Amino acid sequence: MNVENVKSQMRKGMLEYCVMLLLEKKACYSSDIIDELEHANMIVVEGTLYPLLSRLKKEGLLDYEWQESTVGPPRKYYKLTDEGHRVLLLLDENWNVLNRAIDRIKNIK
Amino acid sequence: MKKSFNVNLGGRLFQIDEDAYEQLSDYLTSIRSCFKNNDSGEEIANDIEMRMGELFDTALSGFRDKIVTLVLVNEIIARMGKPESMVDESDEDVAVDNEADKCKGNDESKNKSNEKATINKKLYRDGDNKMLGGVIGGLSAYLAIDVTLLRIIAIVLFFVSVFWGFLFYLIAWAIIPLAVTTADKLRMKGVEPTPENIAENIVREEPAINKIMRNIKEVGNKGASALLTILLCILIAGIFTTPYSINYSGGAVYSSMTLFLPFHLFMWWIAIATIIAIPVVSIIITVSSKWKEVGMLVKILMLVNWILALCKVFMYTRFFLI
Repeated sequence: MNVENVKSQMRKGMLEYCVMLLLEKKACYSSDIIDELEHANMIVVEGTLYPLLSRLKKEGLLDYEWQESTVGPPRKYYKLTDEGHRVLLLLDENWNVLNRAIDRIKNIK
Repeated sequence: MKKSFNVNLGGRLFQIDEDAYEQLSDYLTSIRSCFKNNDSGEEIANDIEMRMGELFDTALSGFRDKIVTLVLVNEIIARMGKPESMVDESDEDVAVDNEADKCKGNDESKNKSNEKATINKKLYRDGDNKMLGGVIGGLSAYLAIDVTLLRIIAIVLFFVSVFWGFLFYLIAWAIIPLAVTTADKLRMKGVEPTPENIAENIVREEPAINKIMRNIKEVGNKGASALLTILLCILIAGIFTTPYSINYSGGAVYSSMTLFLPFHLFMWWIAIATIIAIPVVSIIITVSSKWKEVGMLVKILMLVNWILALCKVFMYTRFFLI
């Protein structure tokens, strides 16, 4: 079994959910999202985030607006759409189910 | 000395070295080619470009001149990741599957590019596979001959004529360009530097900092033994020319000495340098506790060299004093 491969698959599956969680409370600049994900050890290479954001936007789960920045060029601030919030609730539920399932399986004597 | 340009990267202005520029532009091109079937591919590529600009800016914030070097570019590229791994596989567009495949460069097409290789192979010096200047490493990639075999041949040839061997190597070092960017390295191995191939190879390179650390580690080994081997060659050449029998009143020896006096003076200095250098190197190795990494042969060479040098200085000094 290729452990690295499985690990990266697991992480990939969770990445989307994590990004949406980060955007749930406030609008974020993509570099802030990267910082948070790095702190949480959820992202290995940064390049993976941008296609993900683009896809979530295409699916209507999030949107962005341009904001001026004091230190550089204007930035895109991403935030969840109403549809995004709805989907996030479903994902939350699913996460709890998965969590319980893993707990239960781990505790089988 | 390097040429450098001004570039606008995601709305920020940088000065960038030529080799760094080529590497960065290869990388951005391969990202664009990976996302070319995606409707918002251009936007993704621009986002990545912008992020890289931001990272360069942060990395250079302490410096007065914002000069982007190849080392920095490679570091940031390692941080951003391979273009192929960026392609979002769960994207619903059917086209994306193809584009992921294309970026991964399936084995078939890779083999193909390896076969047509020999046509446009170019001679470079191989900086990743070098003992001195990477000339032999580059030749071995060009001729597809094992590098150690070539080195042995080179050493044998070197003994045939120290002067011509040395001169040839120096000239080769000067005129053969070093393979700097990923595209260069692919051309050196005869792989066509298409965006896909570059994408495949670009992140295989170690992050620069690891490379530097590894090189420092290897100095005790490779660098020192290369240096010592050169010293040994010079000294062996010297053994045959040193007048060990000066007191012996043979006029022939004496006249040959005066004839080549500048050479013998030079050899005297080399021997003096050896006498000083070997203990210094030993102390450095001891301080950095790297003796374990130094091979037995090198240790013996160091000892023999030191004793030989001592003998030579003794002999020469006697000669010069006479």
